[in-house]
Amino acid sequence: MGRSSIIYVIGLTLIVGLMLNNITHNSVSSMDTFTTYYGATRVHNIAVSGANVGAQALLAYAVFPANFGVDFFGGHDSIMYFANTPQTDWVTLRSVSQVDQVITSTMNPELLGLPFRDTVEGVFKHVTFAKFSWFTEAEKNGYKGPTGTAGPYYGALDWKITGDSVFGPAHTNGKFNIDGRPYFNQKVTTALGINKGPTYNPDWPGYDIAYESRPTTANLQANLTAAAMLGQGFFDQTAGNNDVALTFNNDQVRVQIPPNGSLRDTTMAISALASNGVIVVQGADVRIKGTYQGQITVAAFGGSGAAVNKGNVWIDGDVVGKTDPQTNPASTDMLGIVAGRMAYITEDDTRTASSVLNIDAAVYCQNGELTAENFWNIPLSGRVNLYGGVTQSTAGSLGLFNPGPPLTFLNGYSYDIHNDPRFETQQPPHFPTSSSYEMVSWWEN
Amino acid sequence: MSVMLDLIGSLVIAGFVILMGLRLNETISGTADASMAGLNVQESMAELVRNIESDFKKAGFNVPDPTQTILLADTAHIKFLADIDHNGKVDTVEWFLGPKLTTLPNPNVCVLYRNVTDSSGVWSGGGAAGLGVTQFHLNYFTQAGAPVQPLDAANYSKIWIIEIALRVESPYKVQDVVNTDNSQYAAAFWKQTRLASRNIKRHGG
Repeated sequence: MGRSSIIYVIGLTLIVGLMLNNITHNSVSSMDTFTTYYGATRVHNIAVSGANVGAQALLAYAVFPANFGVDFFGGHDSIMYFANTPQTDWVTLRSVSQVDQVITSTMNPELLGLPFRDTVEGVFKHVTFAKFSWFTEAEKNGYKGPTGTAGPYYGALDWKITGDSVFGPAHTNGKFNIDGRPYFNQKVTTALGINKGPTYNPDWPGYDIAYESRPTTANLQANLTAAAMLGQGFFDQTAGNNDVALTFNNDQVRVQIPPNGSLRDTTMAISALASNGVIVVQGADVRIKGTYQGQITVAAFGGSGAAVNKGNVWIDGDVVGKTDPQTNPASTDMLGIVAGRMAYITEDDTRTASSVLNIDAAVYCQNGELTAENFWNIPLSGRVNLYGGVTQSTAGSLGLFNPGPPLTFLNGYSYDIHNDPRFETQQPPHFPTSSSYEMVSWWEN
Repeated sequence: MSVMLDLIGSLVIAGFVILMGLRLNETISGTADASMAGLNVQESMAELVRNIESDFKKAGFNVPDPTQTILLADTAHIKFLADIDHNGKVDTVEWFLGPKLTTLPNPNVCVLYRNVTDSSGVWSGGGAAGLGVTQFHLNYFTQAGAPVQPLDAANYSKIWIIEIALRVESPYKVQDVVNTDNSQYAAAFWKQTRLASRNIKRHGG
């Protein structure tokens, strides 16, 4: 009896011991799983936090930030900035974190015993003005004729009212004037807030306060001129100030100087005229129309003396891509229009209320606005479909209307502006960009 | 007589000892079983969570128009665009809960599926991502925190935040004295209340 009791007790002890060992092992494994998840989360949070700090330093920079390291939350994070590949004018921010804690879970045996590490990468690029469907320095009319004479509504506030729609990013470095219920499909940004009319009730997701600096005229002109000279697309018209007319016909372009062609009237491949797609007219205006193919930026800059009011771009008719970017977002045809002064839609009194003028382009007016020539004094001219956007110093008007109700158009054009989503990540060659950065993508493991 | 009493007494005591041993054995076996089931459930949950977080944080990565990121948003089914393998090509990533499995003791167990399709439409990876999932529930919110109703395709572009609830249970019952709310199935529950991909958020609203 005594011996068998001892054997029984020993056997029971062994069984219980094995069971307890098994339970203890499960508990330890469970704790390892927990600590591994905790460690991975902690090191990830360190990497994200470091990337946030690094991104903020980049987005709000006065001097481009240097690489740095920081210790916090029981770990170390290194933040590095370097040129992106293949877009070398973009910046990649890499945040690499590490903690001393080692991986103890056997869920991933190959990582066992290694310290926790994580990497977060953000890619940033300069804010391109092509992405804005609407951008102004100030929300007021700034119409000046080609002779420099101010229009009758010069200086009047531009109001966004019921019936107005903006699809895509909208921004002003001034104040938006809003009354009634205009529609914005995205959150707008404004440097100075909102000027509210008596029936202010916009249909939008709201607004943020932000400022976007534009390049100086000198820098803008220098950059585009250098690019145009490099690609042989530079027209120096400072002697004579003869305007240049460009009529696009798919991959061909007819060049007329002056627009009646008396000095030059040639047709050539766009790539032969400007190998990099940048065409700059110096000391004169440029007139454009037609169907273009490829990536092109057309710019005009004035000068002094007789050229003081030059630097305008005249849109003489439809300017559209060969492959319609509205119906085919994979279209590689894109146009940038850059005016040192104004971009005019040329007066054409043959237009009627049912006419449609199509423009597939990103328009940029450094010291003026996109407007219709004599918009207050021309017959009802139908609608302008701008697929792209406009960045301008002042808020250009295309027509005159009585807000009613009912809303009644009196002169000129109504308009419909849709942003081109391609311009979020691409832009016409050497199209102006802001000095500030914006995020392109964010990668977390 | 006293010998008989000793024998009877010792038999009774021995019986109690044996019963105690058997009871102890049963308890320890049950506890070991429960702890193993709990560990399996926890590891399965940890692996699933790691994959879900990894995928969802990449939603919209390298997508030219991030407002078009979400292709389908249902309560237990989501499909979105992301360059998930960082190769410059946008993939379609899909997570969804399969039907309940009928062959297991736990009648609520399902398979959670993950499919990745590359931009050419050719299936390029995925399949069953996790077993033992009894709940995979998704809620969607705008930047302002307003709910976006499931399958409301017109408002997919407004989705900025995704709330995910995930529950994993063992396929069989265990003796679990800790989790008493699940009819004796080992269970783990995880909820991510504000999972927002920076890539969805990077433009507009």
